[in-house]
Amino acid sequence: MRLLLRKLASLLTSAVIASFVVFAFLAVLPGDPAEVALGTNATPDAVAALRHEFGTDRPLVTQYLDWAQGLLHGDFGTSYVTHDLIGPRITDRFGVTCWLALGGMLVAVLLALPAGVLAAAWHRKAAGALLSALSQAGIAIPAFLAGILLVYVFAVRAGALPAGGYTPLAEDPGEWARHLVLPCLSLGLVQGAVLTRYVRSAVLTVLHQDFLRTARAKGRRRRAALWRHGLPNAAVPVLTVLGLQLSTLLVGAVVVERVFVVPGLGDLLLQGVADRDLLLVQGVVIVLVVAVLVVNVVTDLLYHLLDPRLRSR
Amino acid sequence: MTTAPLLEVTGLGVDAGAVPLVRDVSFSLARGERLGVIGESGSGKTLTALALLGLLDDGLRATGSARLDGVPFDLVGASDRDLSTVRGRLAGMVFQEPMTALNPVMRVGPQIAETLRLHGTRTERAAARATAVDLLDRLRLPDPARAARAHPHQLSGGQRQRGVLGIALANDPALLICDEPTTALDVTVQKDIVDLITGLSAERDTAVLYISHDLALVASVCHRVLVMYGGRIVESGPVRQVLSRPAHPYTEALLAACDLSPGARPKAIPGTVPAPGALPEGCVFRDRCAYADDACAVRPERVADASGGTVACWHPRTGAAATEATPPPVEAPREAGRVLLTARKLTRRYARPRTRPFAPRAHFTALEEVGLELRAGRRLGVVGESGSGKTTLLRLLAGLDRPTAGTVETADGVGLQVVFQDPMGSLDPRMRVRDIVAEPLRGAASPGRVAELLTAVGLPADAAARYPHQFSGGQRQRIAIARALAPKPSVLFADEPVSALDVSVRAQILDVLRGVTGERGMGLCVVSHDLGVIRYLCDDVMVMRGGRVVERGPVADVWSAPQHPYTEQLLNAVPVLGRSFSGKGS
Ligand SMILES: Nc1ncnc2c1ncn2[C@@H]1O[C@H](COP(=O)(O)OP(=O)(O)O)[C@@H](O)[C@H]1O
Ligand code: SF4
Ligand SMILES: [Mg+2]
Repeated sequence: MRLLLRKLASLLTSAVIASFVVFAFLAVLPGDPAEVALGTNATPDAVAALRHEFGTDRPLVTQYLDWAQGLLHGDFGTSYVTHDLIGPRITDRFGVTCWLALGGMLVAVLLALPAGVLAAAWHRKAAGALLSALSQAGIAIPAFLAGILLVYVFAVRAGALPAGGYTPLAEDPGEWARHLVLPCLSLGLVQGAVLTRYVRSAVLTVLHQDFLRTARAKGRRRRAALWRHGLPNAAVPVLTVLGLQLSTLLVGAVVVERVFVVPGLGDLLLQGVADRDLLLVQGVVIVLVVAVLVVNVVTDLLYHLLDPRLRSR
Repeated sequence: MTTAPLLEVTGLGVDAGAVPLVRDVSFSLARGERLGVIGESGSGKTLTALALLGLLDDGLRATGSARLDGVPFDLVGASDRDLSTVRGRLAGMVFQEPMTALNPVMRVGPQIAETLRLHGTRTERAAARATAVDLLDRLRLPDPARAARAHPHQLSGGQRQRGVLGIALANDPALLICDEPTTALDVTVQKDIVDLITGLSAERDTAVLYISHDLALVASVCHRVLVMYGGRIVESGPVRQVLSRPAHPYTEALLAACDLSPGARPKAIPGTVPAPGALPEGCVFRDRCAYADDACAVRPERVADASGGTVACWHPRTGAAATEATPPPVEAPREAGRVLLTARKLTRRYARPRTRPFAPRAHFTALEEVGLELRAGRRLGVVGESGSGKTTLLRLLAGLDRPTAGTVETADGVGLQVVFQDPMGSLDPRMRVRDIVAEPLRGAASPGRVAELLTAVGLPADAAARYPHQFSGGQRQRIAIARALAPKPSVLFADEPVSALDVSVRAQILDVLRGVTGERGMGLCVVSHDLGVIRYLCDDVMVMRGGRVVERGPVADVWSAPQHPYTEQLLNAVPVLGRSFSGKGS
């Protein structure tokens, strides 16, 4: 409980610092929103008027506080470019990106757990070596390349799955899933290959530990000992990697969204950059940053839950 | 007794591919009997035990036969499935390393309860847990309910080993196999655990196979003993018989090597235990045996001798006092020379991690107001159990750490050097011995000086060109000592210098340490948990407990008339060969 509070406090601090950095970074970039909005041959007066309307003529500190205060209420401000509220657009897109990242994670875990455990259990046999080699190869492939390959095989050649686009879950769950399969696979396969290596080495370490021999000495069969006593211990280091990977996936989704024309946060971010929509970019980045922070805190907490040695400190 | 033996092992062997590691191990064990297995490390004791329960590593294969009463199949070669019905039910096992033997992410109680439910002794989870607590209580754990709820890391080594014992004994097995169960524990804890094992064995008629390298300990626990060397049993018999009138030259040599009693001088066994693939033809002990002759080129069978034991030797020893004690070298009386180092009121505190943010930091006092003087030509021993602060003290004296309070003063021109416990960990594996030894001299070492240092610690001159991994543990410790001697220090510190070594090698290293300090008027400060080592090596002793000195004085005085009850407790906890035979039926 105390730990939870401590983690939340540190999460808040990090979030505040992050919001500040994001704001400051974009503030020093060239490109005044008012100038951008009016084009190059606008009169200085018109620009000044628009600046006043946007509020960008106020001191930076005031602007920051104003923006940050809005964030606390879920208000991301109104776009200088499209004059829409930014908040709802981000929430819509964020959901899509989350589905992608979670789907990718699911693929990675479903792939890595059996592959990693088997690669470790068979490490003396040819099958184990083959699994290791495969995962090694998998690591070397960038996600977008995997994506293009998958599209080619499943969408273009076989025509079994849509090559791009998106259908919201609420509209048609079947179509939603069909659209997610390829992007999730292309995200998850590569992460799965990386994760396989970690699972393998964690299980290998555990295989040679004394408590596993104790488990067998008490009458557990070989496999049951690994299952009951080995894997919970192997999970501890693997979990850290999982947390990092989920963060990577959130960010990595940006590229894959491009390949599969999925309307996620990445797509929105690129759109914002292209339009010089400062507030939109700010909003998307801060959402991504906070999401990563939250993932980290959750992994940390799980880590403490799994490993009693950390808990009792 | 005419009943069938509980365990009958015949021609047990273990192979790693084409290399035989264990050969021709045959013995039987009656119900309630305690059988010791002794021998230097690498003699095949652990492999024998693991082979009996089918717990060998994947690359190893067992042959021969092992029948356990009440089990319809042969333990050797049985399937994992069949063996799993024997392990934990009819036979329990306790391992050497209590710190790692328990699952770190599971509470201790459930780990014991698991054993009960696995074999159907208790089926209900709650009943199993309650029984686990009872067991811990019988194993004399204070507050067993709390211990059952604890995770392993919250318990001390001795408490954890009781947890492991709880697992092994949960289903009241007929056979308990213990592989060096107390080697990693303090002497007083060792005594408690050993008393427990012998007590429960007598009470429940549990047979015990007790593996240890500590002869005196085996003498105090067991009825009979097997002596192993080179993967074979070379001698067996009643424990008193074997350890007081050894028939095999190896047993005799082992006894001579570990004799640290006053007036005795431990004698190292020449050479080292050969690697399993490099055993001599004929008698396995031939290349180290003082009595070897041409007959020994043929392997001697193990045959019954007149006194109820067996021995595998062409020229068994017969004399009652075959080991006439060699008196220690007569040393010129060494005057306590000038004061080399003075420590005053040394205190070392460590900060504990905060329990909550902004809480005041808690401190742990590892050492409290310890003062001492080291003089030229004197050897000071510091004894104490784990956590007593002895290593902290040594680190402060040697300048490896700074005291929280107090001072260490060295006289002008006094150099300090340290030898550590783990001979491998302290040597860079990629450096040649000559560079290792010359390292503290910063390139100012002539080949002649290196050779001189190597000779001083009893290493051949050609050792200079080799790498650490090409040496045995004892030889590596010699290299470490040579390196420490290189800059001609006035004080040599040694932290558990022989704890990682076999008894046969221990004697050599003790002699080296003794020699260099005797000849050079050096001051020596040795930290050890082994009271025998301190008594053999040192002039003065400091007994430490909980960061404080509880007693100090000349070694002879402290041993003959300990003033502090704790010192007395320590001295009594150490098993001593002669004393051990008493009080045990056979
Ligand atoms: N898995 C293994 N593979 C190859 N050799 C091994 C293996 N385990 C042990 N050995 C070797 O077998 C010999 C006997 O080992 P062990 O039974 O552990 O001796 P002890 O318990 O008496 O110290 C040693 O020389 C050791 O190096
Ligand atoms: S058989 Fe020969 S070499 Fe072997 S122990 Fe006996 S005397 Fe020594
Ligand atoms: Mg062993």
